[in-house]
Amino acid sequence: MKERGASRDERETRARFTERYATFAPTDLSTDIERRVIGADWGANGYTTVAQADALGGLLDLRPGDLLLDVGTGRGWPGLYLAKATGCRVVGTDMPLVPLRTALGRAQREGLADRTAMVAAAGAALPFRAESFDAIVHTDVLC
Amino acid sequence: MAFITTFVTPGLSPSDRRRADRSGPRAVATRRDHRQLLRSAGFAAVEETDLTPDFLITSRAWSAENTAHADELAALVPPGAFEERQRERCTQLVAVEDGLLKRALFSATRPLRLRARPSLGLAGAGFGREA
Repeated sequence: MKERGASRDERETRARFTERYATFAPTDLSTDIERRVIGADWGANGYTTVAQADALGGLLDLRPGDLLLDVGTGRGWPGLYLAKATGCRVVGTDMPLVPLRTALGRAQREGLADRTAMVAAAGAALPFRAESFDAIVHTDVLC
Repeated sequence: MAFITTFVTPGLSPSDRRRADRSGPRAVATRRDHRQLLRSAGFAAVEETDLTPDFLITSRAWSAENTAHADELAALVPPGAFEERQRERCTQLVAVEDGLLKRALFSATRPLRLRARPSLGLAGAGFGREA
């Protein structure tokens, strides 16, 4: 089925990351490794460590009630972590649905559901009005 | 806004640039300096903190952990997927060690920062009211 409004590049990117997220689903072993490598257990397999996520939160001066946009959030790293650590609200966006569902499940388990929303959207065409957010964070999205 | 990203080291020769493009994350495509991009988008107070040394440490840690648990991890995914991922990580690690890729934290602010806006067009997501 062709997606209306999505460019060929977006469709290919979504398909590639959907496959990757499905293939490399978190397991007990991968979570243990993630803890040892980056200090987190949010299903991330990138290079942003907990210390760096904390630095991002500090630079953004996140406070309870602030609304944070995490572009390319994947399974919720680092947006959900920052919501948990600072009390802010978070909207996460990404293109594949699989990790967004995982992120919503984690938000529920962490007691963050009432402060969390996940939106399937490409970073180049975010469906939000200007000045909607107090802060924006992303990791390995704008390359 | 604050973000972390990996990018091709500025000022490379054309051949090194091509190697960096092949070695880096698939999304590494821009030839524009991130600070220029931020300023042209209206952001101010742009700051850049080099994280490349930390990137090397983290890359080596991923590689070492995945190598140590290769058989177990490979058994969890379709044939060849783990090996392909390991090759990608290894290629990227070598590129960082060779100075072809860098990683940095960028932060920037909008001249007018609005806080605690009550209506964001997100009512369906459970927002749209003060927490």
